[in-house]
Amino acid sequence: METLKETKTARNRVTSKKRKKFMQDTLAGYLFIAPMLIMATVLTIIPILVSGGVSFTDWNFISGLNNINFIGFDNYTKMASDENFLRSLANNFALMFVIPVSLFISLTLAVLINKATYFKSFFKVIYFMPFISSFVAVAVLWRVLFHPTSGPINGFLMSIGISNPPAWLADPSYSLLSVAIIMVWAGIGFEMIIFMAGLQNIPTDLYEAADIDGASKIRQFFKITIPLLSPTTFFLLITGIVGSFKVFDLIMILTSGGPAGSTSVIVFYLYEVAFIQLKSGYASAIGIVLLLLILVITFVQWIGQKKWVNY
Amino acid sequence: MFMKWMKSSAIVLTAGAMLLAGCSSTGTTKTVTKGSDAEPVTIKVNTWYNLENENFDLVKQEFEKTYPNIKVEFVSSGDNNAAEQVKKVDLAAASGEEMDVIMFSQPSFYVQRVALGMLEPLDDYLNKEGLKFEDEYVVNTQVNGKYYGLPGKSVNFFVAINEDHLKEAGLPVPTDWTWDEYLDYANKMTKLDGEKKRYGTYFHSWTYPYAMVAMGNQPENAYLVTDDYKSANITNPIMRKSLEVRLQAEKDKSATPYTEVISQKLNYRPQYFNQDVSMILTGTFFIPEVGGTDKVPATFKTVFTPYPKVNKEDTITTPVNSDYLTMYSKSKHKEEAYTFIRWFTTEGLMVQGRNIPSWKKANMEEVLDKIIAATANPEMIDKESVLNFLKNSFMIPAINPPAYSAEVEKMMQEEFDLLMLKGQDIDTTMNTAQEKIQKLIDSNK
Amino acid sequence: MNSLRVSRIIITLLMGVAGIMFVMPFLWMLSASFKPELDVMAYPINWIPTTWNAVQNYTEVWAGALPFSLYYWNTIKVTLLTTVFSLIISAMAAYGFSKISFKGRDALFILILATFMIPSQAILVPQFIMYRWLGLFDSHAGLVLLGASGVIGTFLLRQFFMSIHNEIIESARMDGANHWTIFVRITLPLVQSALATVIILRFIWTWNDYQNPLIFLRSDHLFTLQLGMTKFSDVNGEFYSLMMAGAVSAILPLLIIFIIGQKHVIEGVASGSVKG
Repeated sequence: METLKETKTARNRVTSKKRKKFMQDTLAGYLFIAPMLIMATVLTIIPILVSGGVSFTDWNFISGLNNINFIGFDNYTKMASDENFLRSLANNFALMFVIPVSLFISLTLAVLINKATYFKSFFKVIYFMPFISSFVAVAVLWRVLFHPTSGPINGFLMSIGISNPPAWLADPSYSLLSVAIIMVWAGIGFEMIIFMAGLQNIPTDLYEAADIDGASKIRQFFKITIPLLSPTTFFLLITGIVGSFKVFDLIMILTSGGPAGSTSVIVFYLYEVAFIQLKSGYASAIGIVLLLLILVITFVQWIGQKKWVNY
Repeated sequence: MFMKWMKSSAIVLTAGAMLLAGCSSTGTTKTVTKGSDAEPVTIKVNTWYNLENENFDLVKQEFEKTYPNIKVEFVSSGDNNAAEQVKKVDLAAASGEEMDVIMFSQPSFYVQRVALGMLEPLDDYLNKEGLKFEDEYVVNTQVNGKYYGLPGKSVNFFVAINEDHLKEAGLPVPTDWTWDEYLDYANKMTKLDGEKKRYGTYFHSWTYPYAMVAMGNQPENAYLVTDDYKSANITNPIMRKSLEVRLQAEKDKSATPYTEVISQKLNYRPQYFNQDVSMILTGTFFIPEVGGTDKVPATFKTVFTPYPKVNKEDTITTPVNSDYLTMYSKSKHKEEAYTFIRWFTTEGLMVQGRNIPSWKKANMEEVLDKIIAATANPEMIDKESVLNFLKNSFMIPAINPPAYSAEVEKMMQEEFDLLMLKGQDIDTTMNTAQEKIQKLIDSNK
Repeated sequence: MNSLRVSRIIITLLMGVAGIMFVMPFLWMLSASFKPELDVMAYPINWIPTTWNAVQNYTEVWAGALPFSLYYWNTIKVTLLTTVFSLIISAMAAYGFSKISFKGRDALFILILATFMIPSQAILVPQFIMYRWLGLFDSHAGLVLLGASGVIGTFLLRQFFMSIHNEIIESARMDGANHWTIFVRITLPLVQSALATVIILRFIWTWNDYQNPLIFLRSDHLFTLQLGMTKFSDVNGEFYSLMMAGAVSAILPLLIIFIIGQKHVIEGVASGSVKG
């Protein structure tokens, strides 16, 4: 009898301890995330909700709040047949491929700098320079490189026998590719330092142990580096793809969406609709569609993470 | 150690943030007192110019001397970016901010906002003063039968030519010429070999007027949309001529190649002053520049010639546009705002001495003298040819474009790009543009 | 051993050659800042200026019509505050989202993550109106809060936190430690490389931010560098020589932050091996 009573009490004690821990955890959890959550809600989530509401109207923001007409899903149906929108969407989908390419390059560079070069710190700074250089300078540099008649790229192409090289930024068929190349180049610095942070976090004894076991550097790369880097890679993949859908400044400076709308992307079109055509309702609808699209893509990646990301 | 430092800095930080919020300057909360003769009223004038460079301090001084009971506060981010200024004006209106006078750089910005009720009609104020608009101003700012703004600086278009290149090619200064003669001049002044390459002419990337050069100075229907806003105005012989001129210049290699203009995002100022080109079709905003500034000195003399014509028998014409001085419909100081608008568009611009007013009663020569004298190398401006082109060109006040003109121009620009860069033929270009623009017009009726 | 050394040298050389392209924008900035305005856009590019205008350009930038040093100070102030504030709340949130289990945790994380999936242009108008309403418009405090609400730092730190094995945390809790102590004493030291990275990134993003100051600041005396530099222009275009002199002057702190920050990224290694 006594033992039974004791166990019961003991169990109760354990359960109440668990409950206490649960409550402590919940409280602690909310406290920890509170500052970020509050700021994100006030500064971003509420505007998104407002924007969502506006997307069902034909509002233009100048005329004030007395002029809002509810028009249901009209803005959304309009989008489905809007040539400009569809073209921008297609361009964004094409630009998504920039990310895997640049991730591959930056990972290679990060690993090389980490292990296989002299003057490590010097190289880190060099490859990082585009990230902190003035946008104007980056634009000028690439315009010069892509100069249709006297630029080095076409000069090289002509010297190896291609007689009519494309006009790159001024060629409606090649302008998107030119922008993609510049995006890859510009993204490398950012991705590289994130990869390097991730690389530093892999304990060196793992590599030492592998060396002792006789594994080659390449095998180590695939069996140790890549798996342990996966949380970082996942982060970069998500932020990269989202970033590619949000690209705006680069387009603004380089091409303003041209020539002939070949580099028009969704955010640029949204900007035109919102601030030049002054159609806030339609612009909000575009913003919401973009948000949903990115959410879906991210969700797909999130589910996929179980397959290849090791924590 | 790092952690301890972080903890204490968190405390400091929160305190700092609170302090910041407390003493954050909300610069624009000037208490606005209702204007009585004793207390001065402050009006806000919203613009995009760099205030010091453009002599707005002089403007303020003179105005306040003449009207001591009105104080002027200029609101400008000073970056000369009219597109950003318009965005900020829109945001200010949306959030209920106080504004009195708003300047707009382009007719499309103006017309759009009239349609949205942002601007106050000025007819009553004009009538009270007994003024007839057509007697006062060169440019017509009427929209739907009312005047919602007064015109500021006037912009006419003309051709500026590097005199040295002209003399080198043995050509006389043109005083009356056609597009074919223009192309001929461009050919003769182009030098493609030798140390320094130069093209005869340069066409900038703006849709208006460069994608429609021959249309720009037409007496009627000078825009991509007919004057009555009913139909698209692309499939006509004048537009065809415009596109032919552009294609011809590309073929002759007498103009800076369009691929270069686009891919390098060229600007007309360095092109002209670096002597990479001999002549450019440009506007009167370029005149102060032509005399040199300390940043960009003028090393050669420029002569001014009128806008080319299509046929020899046509009269010499030039389109006249302006920027706009308008009154915010929710301004709390409408009388004072009107006083400033009226003063600035008449005497204010003359005092400012940077641009030509749209005021018919302005003394053109006095204005020009002032502008020229303020340049670094006044002898580089050929004053005689300026006066000539101003006197001999018949000024055609531009009709205000429809509110959706930005979209119209974008459609035209896209077809134009395909014409110049992808070899799309003229007929397809004109027909596609006509179709698209017509659809847009119809959807806006 | 010898072949390893040779391959290292070869790779170093190749990286060096490729690296030149990465430094070119900066070299152009430098070169442009030394030239008179007309030479800046001259083509082909003259890397070494034929006419030296360096003294005039830099004097005009630092001692000319614009209060450049004020803009510099404003930028330092806003950037430092944003970075510190952002780091603290991001780290806290990252810990909460990864190491504490509570109801609705993952859903809230996705909610937060979603905020960076919408382009700022789409929510600009509501944000602007809200800012005016909250009284945060035209203030540095407003800018700091806006900058610190970026969630990428949280996301990155969460990834790193998640790689920390839970046993360490469990054992600390057994010993009676509360979450704050664990957070500060145990987990933070383990993610130093990520912390240093977040500091570097947030600093650079805030320093180079043009959009937010453009929209949310009105008074000239509050302007930051990126905004102030656009004033080196007139009606006929920008003065690139001055803008680049300004940009070169503005890039120095970024280089310094990066170089210092990188050292911390490396130092994170030693303590990183306390794993499982």
